[in-house]
Amino acid sequence: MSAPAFRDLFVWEWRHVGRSPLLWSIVVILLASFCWGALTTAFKHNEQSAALERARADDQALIASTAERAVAYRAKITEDAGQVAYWQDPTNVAGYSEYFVRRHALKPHLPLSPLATGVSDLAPSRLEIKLNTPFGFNDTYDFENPRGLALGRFDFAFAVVVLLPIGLLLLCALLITFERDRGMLRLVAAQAVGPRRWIGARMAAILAWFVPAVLLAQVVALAIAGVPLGQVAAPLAVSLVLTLLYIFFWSGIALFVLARQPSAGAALGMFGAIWALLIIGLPMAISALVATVDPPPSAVEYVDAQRRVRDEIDAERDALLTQALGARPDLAAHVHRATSLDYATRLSFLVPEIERRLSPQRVAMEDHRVRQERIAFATGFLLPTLGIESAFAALAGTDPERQRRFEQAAREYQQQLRACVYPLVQAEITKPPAPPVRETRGRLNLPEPLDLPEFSMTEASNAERIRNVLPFAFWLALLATVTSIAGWRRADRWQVT
Amino acid sequence: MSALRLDSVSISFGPLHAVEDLSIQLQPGEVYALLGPNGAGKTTTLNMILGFLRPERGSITVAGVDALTDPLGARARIGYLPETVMLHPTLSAIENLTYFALLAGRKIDVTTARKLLGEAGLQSDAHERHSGSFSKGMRQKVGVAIALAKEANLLLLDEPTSGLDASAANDLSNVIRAASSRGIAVLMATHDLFRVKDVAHRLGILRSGKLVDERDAATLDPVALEQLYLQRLAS
Ligand SMILES: Nc1ncnc2c1ncn2[C@@H]1O[C@H](COP(=O)(O)OP(=O)(O)O)[C@@H](O)[C@H]1O
Ligand SMILES: [Mg+2]
Repeated sequence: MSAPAFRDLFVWEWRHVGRSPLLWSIVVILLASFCWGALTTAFKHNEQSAALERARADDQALIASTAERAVAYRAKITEDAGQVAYWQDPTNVAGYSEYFVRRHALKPHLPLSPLATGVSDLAPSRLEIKLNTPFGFNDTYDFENPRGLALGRFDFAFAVVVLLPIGLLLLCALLITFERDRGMLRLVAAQAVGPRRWIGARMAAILAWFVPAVLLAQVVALAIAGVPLGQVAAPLAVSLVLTLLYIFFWSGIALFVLARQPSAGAALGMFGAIWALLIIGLPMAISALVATVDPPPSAVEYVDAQRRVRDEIDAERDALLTQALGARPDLAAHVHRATSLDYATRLSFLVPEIERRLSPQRVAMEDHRVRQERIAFATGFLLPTLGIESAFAALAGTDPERQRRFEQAAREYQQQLRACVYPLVQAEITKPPAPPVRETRGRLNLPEPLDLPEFSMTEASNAERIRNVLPFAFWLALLATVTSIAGWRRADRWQVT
Repeated sequence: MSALRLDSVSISFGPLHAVEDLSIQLQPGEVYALLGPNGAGKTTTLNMILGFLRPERGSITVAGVDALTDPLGARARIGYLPETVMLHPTLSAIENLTYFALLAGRKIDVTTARKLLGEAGLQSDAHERHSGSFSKGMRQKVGVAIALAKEANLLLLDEPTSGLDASAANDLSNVIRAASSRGIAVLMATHDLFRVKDVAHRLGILRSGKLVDERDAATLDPVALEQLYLQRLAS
């Protein structure tokens, strides 16, 4: 006459829970939502990848047609057919610099990208780089992150973060409060089992079904979405560990609430409140707080500043150019040409000046983004619901940090192109004007198009990506342990009177 | 060693003294009827024996085990039949019995389960039916089998005959007598005076948490018992 062994209880519970239609309904719904979420993202990413391919092809086509034109305009002409306009002339270095140097900076999707949409539907993964666009590229995307307004898009991460806990909590609430709600709990309690062992065995049995089913569903959903599982084994394994820990985090909360054997209604009410708080309430409150304490620099003001600076530059144009030429030892002797420079050559002096004048606003915006990233990282520890989403995005390569690095690389790429082309453009100022004899249609101060460098961006390795999410994974494990232990301790007596 | 021993046990809920200074002792095989109207404190007494409530004063031992310091150990020696037995509706009588036996730390096979259900009076064609369709009396019988499966030293029966038909109540009396003859002590809380006279060796009358009389059942005929009961409650 002694308490039942945990193992025996567990085996019985495992068989019993395995026959529960509720369990399988929830698993099927989660599987469907995982697949739906992963497929939606994969579909979006495939379209974006196709757009990247088109951009690459456009670049190649432009390079090819530029070379073709250069050949055509280099050919000797017999009768005077007139010269082409300089902006159509890739053999003219100024025309070339403004109208023929256009490349795309591309951020390809990683193989595991269907794991989380992240910023991939907010920020472009393809940036058009021209020499004279201030700061590298045009901000063509949304000023404000719509994440602040709603729960987010329906991707795989959403299904895990938001729907998985609903399924798990529902399952725990209904299966663990069953005896109480049916008036059987006294009879259970009057046997020789303590509440810890009894609730523990049932919880373990639920998890013994739920965990493998959910992890399998995750793998299946990603496979259906076209993730090459073999290639992403390590980050995929880490994402599975994160899902596992996230389940344990919620099961710890469930255990804590169910430890005092509430009725199903009370348990569901409590779970609903906790879920809403962790998934909707606190994230929104923190967003609102952050927006109040550290508001983003006004995008409208930035647009205004751009307009103002352009107007200033237009007004001061000749003075600025005179000053710029005068300041350069190699060009000082040609200051008199300042007022007769062509548009493209002028830009090579004026655009850096525009950038210089706008840089305070630009720096403020960059700094704000970096702060936002830090806050998001820290908030992830406070609210594991946000943390796991960020961790998924980091593994998927759709995180804001990678986006920022991509944009930085795009800017650096523009600087690199300028370093190749601007000196040639500006050197033309020192040369006498082209001879009046027209032997070719082209101006031939750049006979061959330049062999410009390709865009490249240093990518974090899989190992680095994984290392970045490890602190959060450990934290989640700690939280799961703490809530589970607290729940276990709380289940110290039967509540049957 | 007594099967059950309550020494000056008291408990109150706020201002209400639900049980006051209650002392009862049961020898193995003894059947004791705790009589009292609704709200007298019978279920509260059983709750304290089961360790669900902690008395403010007094001590409780079940077959030598201190129920206050080792409630789990005491419970393992108690077969308990609640007032209303509820079962897993999707499990059969046998499966329910095996489950509750397992919770009591006993692994029983189907043969034992059938035997116990038979002893409790459940007709054998019901053994494998889902208990969701069972009547109160049938569930009660499964409850009795669950209590018997524990091979406990003490049976606690809370209003065991309320809502049962005459034949089911008679089956229950037989079970009690059989248990008693095997040396199991039985404490039944009830207000069913006639059944009491049928099976109990001793009876105690509880009024507002106080034991106001305790008698040998053999010394009373049914009419005398009823008179005594009414008189004790009135005074
Ligand atoms: N958990 C409780 N909290 C407050 N009062 C209780 C509790 N349990 C029982 N009581 C009160 O104690 C008294 C005795 O109840 P009970 O033992 O259930 O009576 P009965 O003899 O009918 O089984 C009643 O007045 C009841 O309302
Ligand atoms: Mg009662």
